[in-house]
Amino acid sequence: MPAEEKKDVKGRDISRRQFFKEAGAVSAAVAAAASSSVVGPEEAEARTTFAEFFQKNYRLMTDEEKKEACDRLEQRHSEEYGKKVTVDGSPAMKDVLFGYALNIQKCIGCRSCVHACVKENNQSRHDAEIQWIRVIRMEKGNFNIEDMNKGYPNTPNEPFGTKIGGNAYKGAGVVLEGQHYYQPERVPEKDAFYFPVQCMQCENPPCVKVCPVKTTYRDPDGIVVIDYNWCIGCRMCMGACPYWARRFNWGDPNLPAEEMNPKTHYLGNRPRMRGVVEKCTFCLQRTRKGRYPACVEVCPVGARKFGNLLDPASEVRKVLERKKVFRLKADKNTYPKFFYFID
Amino acid sequence: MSEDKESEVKREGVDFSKRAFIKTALIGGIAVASGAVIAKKIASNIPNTGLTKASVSDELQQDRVMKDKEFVVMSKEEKERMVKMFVSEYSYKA
Repeated sequence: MPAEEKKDVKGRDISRRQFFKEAGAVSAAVAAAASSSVVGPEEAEARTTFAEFFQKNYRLMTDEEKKEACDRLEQRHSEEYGKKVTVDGSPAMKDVLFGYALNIQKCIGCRSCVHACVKENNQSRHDAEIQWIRVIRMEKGNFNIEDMNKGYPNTPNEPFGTKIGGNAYKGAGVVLEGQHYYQPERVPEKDAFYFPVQCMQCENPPCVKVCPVKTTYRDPDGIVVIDYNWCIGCRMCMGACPYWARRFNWGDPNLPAEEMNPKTHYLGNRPRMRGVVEKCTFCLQRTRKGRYPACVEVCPVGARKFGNLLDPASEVRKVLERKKVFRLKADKNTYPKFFYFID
Repeated sequence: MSEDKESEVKREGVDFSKRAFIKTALIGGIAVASGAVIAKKIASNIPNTGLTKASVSDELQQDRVMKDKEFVVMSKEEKERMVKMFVSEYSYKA
């Protein structure tokens, strides 16, 4: 057919090729519009590259692969949050084994550590809120050492029976369930003390042993880390943790772009996704650069001490040497490197 | 196009031509894509109270676990033994 015959009365090209060209352009435009509205800036998963899906477990990667993985995340998170995000892959430092000590006598329950941790580590802000540190309020007992032998039996001529006097009817101090939601006008409260709990970075971590995909492991500096890309969300590690210190992302984390901390670490505070477990990492994005964890830095009463357990001059070693340090009575041989102490 | 061919593709007023088919398919595709986008937007904007409940339940579980713990003061020997173990078992494998 001659070319002239493919034109309509107005002289427009109506050939099949022209039709497919136009149809293709329209479809592409529609698909692009639809996909951009599906993806949106908040949809981290939608921007996940194939390379990210098929990457190896982080600890099995070569240095080059690790760098590529970090670069990919940097690019994706920078686009998502509209700012320059860095994803660091710094390995553990040599001759360093991190340890942490908390003076339970000094803690005033202000929860500055909780909020600093949330900000530093890009935790989900709402629906559902995730906090790696929980401060549990405990009722202070009022047993008095001087009154220990002052009580006497209620039955005059018998050496047994209900005791009266001395420490009788005085509270021994108990943990009240749900008391990490305390909202007093001011802290510390007269009749309470506070018990912050977070990951204890066990030397012999049960969570590592149960992970079926080996995504959680102990780094040489003693920090138990998680490769979020390999976590399958089975929650086995949560059940195995004797302190229930791990948190699960039931939904997509809500992290507003303006509140996002752009200085991240691959194994630490980079934004997480739905269906993965996360926990305290002793702020490894800071501590592997010689800085204190955010909670230590922010504590207004200096109740938190942090340092290298291999260094006899470190704060944490001094605490172990000189203070009254507690361990769990029912020790499961986990050897936590997080110690509670009193002066 | 001859009149015979034209009547072949337009039986009972319905257009069976290739062009009409592609046109319908395209419109259908657009409709499905738009529907999916709208459904996703709506679904993502519905607050999921179940997630918060599950999360709070995890936190309360920590309370229950920690409530059962009993702490005892470590003796000097215990502390020394523990530190010795940390130091002697340290090894760096990057």
